[in-house]
Amino acid sequence: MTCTELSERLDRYHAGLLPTADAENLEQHLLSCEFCRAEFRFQRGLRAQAEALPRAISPARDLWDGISSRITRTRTVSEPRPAWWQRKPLLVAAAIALMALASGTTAAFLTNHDKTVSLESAGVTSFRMTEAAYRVAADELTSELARKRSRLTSAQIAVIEHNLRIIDEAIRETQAALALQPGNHNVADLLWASYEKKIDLLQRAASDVEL
Amino acid sequence: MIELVAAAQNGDEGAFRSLYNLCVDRIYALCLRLTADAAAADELTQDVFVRAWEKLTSFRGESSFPTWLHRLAVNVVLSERRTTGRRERRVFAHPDLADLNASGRASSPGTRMDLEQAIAALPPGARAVFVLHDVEGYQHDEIAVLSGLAEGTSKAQLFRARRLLREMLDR
Repeated sequence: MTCTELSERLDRYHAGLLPTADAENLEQHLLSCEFCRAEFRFQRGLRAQAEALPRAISPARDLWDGISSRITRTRTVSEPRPAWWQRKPLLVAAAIALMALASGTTAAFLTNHDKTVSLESAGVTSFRMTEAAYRVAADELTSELARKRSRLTSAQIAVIEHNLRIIDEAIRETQAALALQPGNHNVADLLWASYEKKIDLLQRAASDVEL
Repeated sequence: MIELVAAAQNGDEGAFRSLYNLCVDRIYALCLRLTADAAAADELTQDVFVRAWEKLTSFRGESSFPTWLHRLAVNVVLSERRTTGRRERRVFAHPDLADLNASGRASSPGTRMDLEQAIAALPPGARAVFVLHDVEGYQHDEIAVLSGLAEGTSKAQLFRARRLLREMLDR
């Protein structure tokens, strides 16, 4: 079992849902991998702390008056939202944001040297596993969208592909910056933001095809 | 509670007020953790109950009312974030969170405040998935349905959230 495979199975292990053979493989890996042992201990502690958080918090003020004034007996009917490619302002804003993101990567790289910390090998492993998780998510959606391609118009495909090219360029530029300075957390955050833009775009495109 | 729900479904605003009193703290805690913003949590909690009033007739009792309301709240908060892109104002010393220590409800106050603050400092997407999965107990497939995310995205966000929390809590 690899570190990535262990990471993917850890939740089910903690929940007691992993098949016996997989659980034994996971335990064998833990015996031989200090990085995964540390991750295992951290996640076990984090789960315990998260489960202990209070489920109820009283608001600082009574919110009822604001509710009472708004509720009516009339049942509202929501209007259908336009498909995402019809919402031009959103697309334009997304494209501008991504171009800013791409150029911002270089700026962050050039101006934030003082925030750079050296990543130890465990941090690098963790970073690579995070990126792998994003790639898997993006690849799954890309495949899903490819299966639905025949139901898209050529104009829709053009818009999607144009935006994906911008995002992929932002990802490549950010990866290049990270390769030069792997401990820069600001650049790493830009990389995650780029992946999230890509996943969000693919998700919206794939879900709108179903409508 | 079943009688209150039935009365509220028939338009009894007083019954709905009673349901609000029973459930508001649970809904507010969810909204506050998902947004890390006290003002937004106030607004969204109100939105949740207004939406609940509008949709009460669709409640058929397949789940308990608190469970139905909780899922509705998740949907309201995540939909609001998607559609308006509300700028998040993070709270590192929110009075509600600080009160948790003062009230003595915490079994280990220092540790819990650290975790609350760290959750509030997460990026919005990672925070939402962490709160829903690790705090509220939703599974990735449920989060995917509620949030409109792909299941793989939910897993990636959770992975990222835990990594960031580890960095913050280890400091």
